[in-house]
Amino acid sequence: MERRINWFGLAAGVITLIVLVISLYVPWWQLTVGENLMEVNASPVNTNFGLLGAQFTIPLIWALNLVCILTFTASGIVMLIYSFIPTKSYSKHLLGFSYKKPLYVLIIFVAGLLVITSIAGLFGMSIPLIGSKNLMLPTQFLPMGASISVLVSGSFQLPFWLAIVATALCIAARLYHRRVAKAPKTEPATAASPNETAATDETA
Amino acid sequence: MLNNTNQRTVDMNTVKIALTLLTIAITVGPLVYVVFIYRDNLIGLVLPPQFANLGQNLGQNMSNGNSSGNPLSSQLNITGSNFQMPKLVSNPQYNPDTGEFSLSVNVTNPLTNELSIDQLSVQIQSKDNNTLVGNISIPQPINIQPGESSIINVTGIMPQDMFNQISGHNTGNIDVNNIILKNLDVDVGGVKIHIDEIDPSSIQSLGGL
Repeated sequence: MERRINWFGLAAGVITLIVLVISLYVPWWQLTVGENLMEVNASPVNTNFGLLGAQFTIPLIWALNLVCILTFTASGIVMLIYSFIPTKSYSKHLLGFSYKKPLYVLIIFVAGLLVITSIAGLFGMSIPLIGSKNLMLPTQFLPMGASISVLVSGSFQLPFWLAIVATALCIAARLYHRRVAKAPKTEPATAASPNETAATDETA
Repeated sequence: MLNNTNQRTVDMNTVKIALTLLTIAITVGPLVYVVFIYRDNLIGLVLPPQFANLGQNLGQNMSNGNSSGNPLSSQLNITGSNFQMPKLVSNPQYNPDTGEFSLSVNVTNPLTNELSIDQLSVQIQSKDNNTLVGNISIPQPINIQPGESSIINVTGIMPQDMFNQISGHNTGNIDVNNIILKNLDVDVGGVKIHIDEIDPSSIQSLGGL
């Protein structure tokens, strides 16, 4: 019997795992203050901060990153397993488990960025998600009548766009599941006899 | 046929339960672990370990009622950073004949990229009668290579009589208690800082003046 494969699921699983590996080294979104005086490297799997050449993480964020690492790993592996057995009775559970995870992570990440930048905006600091901007720090928080203006640059990096591709493929895998699971099983191909061929021609 | 259906149902339930348990484990496990690690210091959950010293020092200062001054200058101690507060290399020099005033500051670049100092200028004012004594600035932009230190010469012109107003008795050096720094402009590493007025006597790290 021909093995059925959910090709979208296979691609989604592979890309999800690739996103995971790349994200360990490259952030999804990066904010740079001045000439790298301060950096924010934001990613669901590895968020860290740089200040004056030192890199540091916040333990709670580290734990959340670990949650996302395990989530991506489980999602990618389960999606790969599912894609080779899409017709099993439990396949829909495997798919349901794996296809939502990258989507949720992506939505939470983008929502988190929007919330954080909006909160910063409430304090008079308009942080650009994409592009560069001269940012004036609010003077009410600075002593001695000081004013500080910094060049701030924000940009989404390759893993973010790959994550969108992985999410799209996960959704495509879910949609394709209906076809791959309900398609009639194909009979093994047999060579048609000359008589059968002639009969077919007459009918036509 | 019935056995086959039952087997499929068992398989589905087994997978469903296994996936649910896996979801709970990977979601709750790391969070419980990190809370357990920091159970005696829950503030540490949101404070990077590298800033622990800074947090402790600030906490001590607040408890001592010393919330003013310049806490960062004396307490910024970030583990893993090569950051050092700029230090005066030697006593400021003054040439009475030419009126030229200069001081040298040692600045270290803690970054992994080149650090540019495009502007550093300040006006010196006498504290007694608020007269402008002179301006000092760096003559040209300076680039410091990653991890290296550089001596920055800050120079300016001060008339002799003005210098006498702010110098300590018979010392020939500027007495920081006699001056106020006005309109400090710094452009370093893409950050532009302007400070209207600084009383240098309140800055402990510049005690060498």
